[in-house]
Amino acid sequence: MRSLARALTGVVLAMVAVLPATPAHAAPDCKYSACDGGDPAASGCTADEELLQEISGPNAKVRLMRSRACGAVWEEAEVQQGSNSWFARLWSVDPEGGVETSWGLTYEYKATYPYTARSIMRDYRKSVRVCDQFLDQDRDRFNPPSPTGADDDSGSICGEWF
Amino acid sequence: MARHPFRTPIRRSRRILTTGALTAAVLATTALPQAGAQPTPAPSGPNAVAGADAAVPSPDGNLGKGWRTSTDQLITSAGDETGFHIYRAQENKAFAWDTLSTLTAPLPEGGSWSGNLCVTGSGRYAVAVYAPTAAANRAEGVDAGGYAAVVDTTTGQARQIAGRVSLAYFAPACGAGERVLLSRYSGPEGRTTEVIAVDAETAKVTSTVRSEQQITNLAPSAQGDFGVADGSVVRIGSDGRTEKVAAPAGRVFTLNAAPDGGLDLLSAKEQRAVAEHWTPNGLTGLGDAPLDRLQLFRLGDGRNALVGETGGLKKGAEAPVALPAEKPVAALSQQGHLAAEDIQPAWVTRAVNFGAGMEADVPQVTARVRAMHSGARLTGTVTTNPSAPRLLTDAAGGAEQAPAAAAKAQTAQSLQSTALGDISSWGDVTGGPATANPAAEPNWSTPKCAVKRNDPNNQAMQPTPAMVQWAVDRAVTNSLDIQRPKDYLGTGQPAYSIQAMFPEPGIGPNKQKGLVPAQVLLGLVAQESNLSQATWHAVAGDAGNPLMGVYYGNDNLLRTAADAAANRTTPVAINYSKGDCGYGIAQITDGMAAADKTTWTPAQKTAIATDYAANIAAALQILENKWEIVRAAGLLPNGGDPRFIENWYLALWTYNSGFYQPGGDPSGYYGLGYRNNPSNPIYPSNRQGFLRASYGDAAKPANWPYQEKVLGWAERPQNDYTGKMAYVQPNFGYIHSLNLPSNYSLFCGPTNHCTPGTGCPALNSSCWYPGPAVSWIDNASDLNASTQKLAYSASDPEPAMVARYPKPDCTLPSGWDAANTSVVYTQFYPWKNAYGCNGDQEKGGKFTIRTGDNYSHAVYLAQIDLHQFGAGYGGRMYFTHVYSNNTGTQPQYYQYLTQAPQVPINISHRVVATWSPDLKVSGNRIFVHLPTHGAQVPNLSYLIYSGCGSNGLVPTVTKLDQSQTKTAGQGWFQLGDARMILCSGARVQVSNLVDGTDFSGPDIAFDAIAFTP
Repeated sequence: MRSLARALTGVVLAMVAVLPATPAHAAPDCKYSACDGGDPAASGCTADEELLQEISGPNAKVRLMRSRACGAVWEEAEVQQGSNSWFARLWSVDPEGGVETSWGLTYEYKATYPYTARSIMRDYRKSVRVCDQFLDQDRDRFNPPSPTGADDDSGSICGEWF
Repeated sequence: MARHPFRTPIRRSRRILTTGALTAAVLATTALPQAGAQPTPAPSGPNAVAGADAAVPSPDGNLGKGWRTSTDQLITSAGDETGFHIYRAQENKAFAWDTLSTLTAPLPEGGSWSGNLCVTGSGRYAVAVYAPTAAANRAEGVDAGGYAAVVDTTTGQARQIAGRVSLAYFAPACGAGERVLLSRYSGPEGRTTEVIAVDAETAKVTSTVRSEQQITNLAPSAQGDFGVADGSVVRIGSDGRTEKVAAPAGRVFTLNAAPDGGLDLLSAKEQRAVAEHWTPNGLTGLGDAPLDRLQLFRLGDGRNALVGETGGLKKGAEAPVALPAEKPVAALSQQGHLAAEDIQPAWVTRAVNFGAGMEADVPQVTARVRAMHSGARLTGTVTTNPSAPRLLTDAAGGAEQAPAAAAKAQTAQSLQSTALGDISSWGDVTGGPATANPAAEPNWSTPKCAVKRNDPNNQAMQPTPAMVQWAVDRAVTNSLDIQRPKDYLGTGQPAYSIQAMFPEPGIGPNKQKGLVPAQVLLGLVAQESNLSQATWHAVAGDAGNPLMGVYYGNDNLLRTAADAAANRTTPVAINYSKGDCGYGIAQITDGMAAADKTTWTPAQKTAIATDYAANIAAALQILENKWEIVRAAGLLPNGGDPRFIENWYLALWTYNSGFYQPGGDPSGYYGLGYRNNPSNPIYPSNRQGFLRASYGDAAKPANWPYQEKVLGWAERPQNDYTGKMAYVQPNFGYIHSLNLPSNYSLFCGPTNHCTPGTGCPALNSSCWYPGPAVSWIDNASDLNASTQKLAYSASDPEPAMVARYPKPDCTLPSGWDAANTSVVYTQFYPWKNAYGCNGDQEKGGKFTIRTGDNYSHAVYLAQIDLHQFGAGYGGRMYFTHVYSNNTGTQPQYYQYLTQAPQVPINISHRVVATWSPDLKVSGNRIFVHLPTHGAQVPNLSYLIYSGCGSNGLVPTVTKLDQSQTKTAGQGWFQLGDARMILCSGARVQVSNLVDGTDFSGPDIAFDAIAFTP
């Protein structure tokens, strides 16, 4: 686990409405695994989006977003700066355990910041978490599940598994 | 409840026993069925009851006046589900037993331990070869499935010496000094021998020699290492070559070093045990006795003792000490003052469906001993001391590797793990362990077997013994036309009729049905599984994973703390390629690999794995097929009438080891394999019929070929957990037992290059038995052979389930506000259970499990000890065991870090469960459901993430005592006592790595959690 200090200062969970109202909107295009890899907005999944977690990394605020109607999650990055070596990643593990996999968002160089980007979706039923991370290094291997007091030096930040 | 698994309550759901082909073996020596051959005489002697811990009462009279100053001691052993225990009984304490040491490792699927023991010449060390009892049911297990450890007989300190050693009856072999020999066999018939010499003092392997001969009956002596090969006594050279030194009178079953540098030996000649003494000048005959009435034991002073009917033996300086005894002896004290005739763990009398329940939680052993001074025979109870020194077995084999080799191997493993750990391809999608050289890698991730573990579609229900007998009786009478409904046990399968799905093929030229004796099939399922369709964790009425043979290809043994401490990152614990896919009560293996699409349909595979009656019907098909193979080969014995149980001897032999068809092998040889040939010297040539002397035979399953074990169980049924016979005995002929061959050379002749004295030296396809047909019952009839006895008629319905525990809860407590309650089940499809419970996970939230470290092989390893189980809210939950949360530096987690992280040494066993509710209201009380059984951890930490604000990341830790279910039963238990404000993102998390526990602790249940106003 990352140091507690970092967890407290680097990660902020936005206070959101406890019980999101269910807005009237068209049925989404996909559900659960059928949403895997789909675009959240194009699939109609942003209509009932709710924020589950937000982390503040060196390059971006990265949010874990969820649609109940779609049974899917995605990450939304409020990018503060472009980079060739940092990425926002949405990691996932199969519901009964397995090897983690990820989607990635690149931090593009733009004239103005911040800008907001969304990743493609993952089945909500999986274990998921988001990171602002240096290359591919921020994996559970560097964030073992018990307090380690150690971390890589890159400053990568991840939310807790959800 | 204490956490130590060997202290106070044993993990209840781990206490399932085993026998059977999977384990083979459990039972015990008490309560032999009345109607057997060779009835056991009543205990004799002045005292029948021993004192505490089996101490000999009235020691002045029973042991003789000098007992207080005697240094004699008995060192012996017994296995149970908590490990293989070494006991010591010292004469100066009136031979009261204490527990010297326990050798063990976690067995994820349950089961018992068994093994053999010898004491070195000095008496300072005992060397044990031990293994999960199940290992003896596979040829590879007998050949190389054991672990070896040395135990200090004063302190009990144990050190592991080697892994992958033979479980054969003659190993380990001790001699005059501290040198001990072990063996290891390889090749299809166990032809190649490795003789492993061990120095007990250093607990190191000192040499390993390899021979292309089968060498048995090892004996280390001052004159060199000896053994038996091709029926002769041989000296084993340092290059593995053997030099014949003597031709004994018969087939050797004991060979011991003698104090003069020679050898003492016993061999079987016809039905006599012949004692001989060998020196370089030749063999000297010492006399003989009936085959089952003479045994040879080593004493502590280097001499040997001949025990039994010794009256006719020669006396002389070179002769072993003669100790008269009325009954066979299991172990003898170092000076021969005490003989242990029988040693049985308390649980072994009740093999079937033992498991959880009200039985004593403390492992006990019943010992029947004989004080040689007075002749008194005494029976006492010994409580195994859970605080005795304990050795956690290293599946990789311990210290066998020489230091240089070990260092080299470690380096190779580190390199390998780096490659394996680096699973991320740099792109948008990553995942799946990549490997530099897939061909060289064990298969970690793709199960070989068709029906997957922990799949809610594949839950088997554990039957009662009555249900098993019913299914067998109806199957063998071709009347198992029982309809199973659609979605039986939540499998999602269409409805089916059992014997329509698995029709009886019939046997003989007319394919006649209804000819297989019920007891043949009952003996088979007893041997294969202890009448268990579901995992041994499950007792009657429990659903769980199907009982699976070697699903992970790992002999079901977990990697241990020793592996973890040594930073082994590529443990040997999974290699799916080596799985054998045996399923259910008859361990149906053929056609059960995922790749096999032709033998069974998917629906048949599911039925075989989940439905005990379907499994029995499939076994009947296979058994009749084996009969037909034997019939086609012209090998049916005793006239070939299938009504006689004895006549299934060869079909059962074939059931286990197959029949090599003519033209099928380039060598041109064909016939029955040599592995189960009763003349194979891997089995003791003086053995009595399986279970005839004692149910304790079941704890030495390596000593009998398969068909002898099955027919033993047919003759003497297993007992259920109440101690009653689990099924009925056959109709015996006038000898009141099965009429089985006592001549173990019956299948040994010129056609398979086998001679009664030497066996089949080639140990290759030339040893296969092609014929001719043999008979051991003349004019077989109901008078001299045995027939089936049925307990159920063709119209009897399936007996009602008599479950050991109440059914799982399916409904919420009546006082709850159900509309505003979110129940998070432990599966997405809560209706997939065996109890008809319903639920809707979409309305409740999600449940996830993460295993290991989420990226390396540890992901898969942690699944081994994770079990779906038919208990808990909604009828399906998971349980695993708790492991120590201790951390250590593990280089494999160090790759890109500036300092080595402290990582849990048991990360390969880590299971983290997370319940994420879809809340109905913000103010919630959190209730954890706990099951009737499978929940034992006291003081377990539940991490509650409120999901609210920045504190959403920092959990509140709340403790809950899962073990309270032992008295409180199943139910909902509140986490804390307050109503909590929870937000989106709220969740509860539990890990099985806990502070302060020992290596492997009690059961931890992952059951439903409810969030309710």
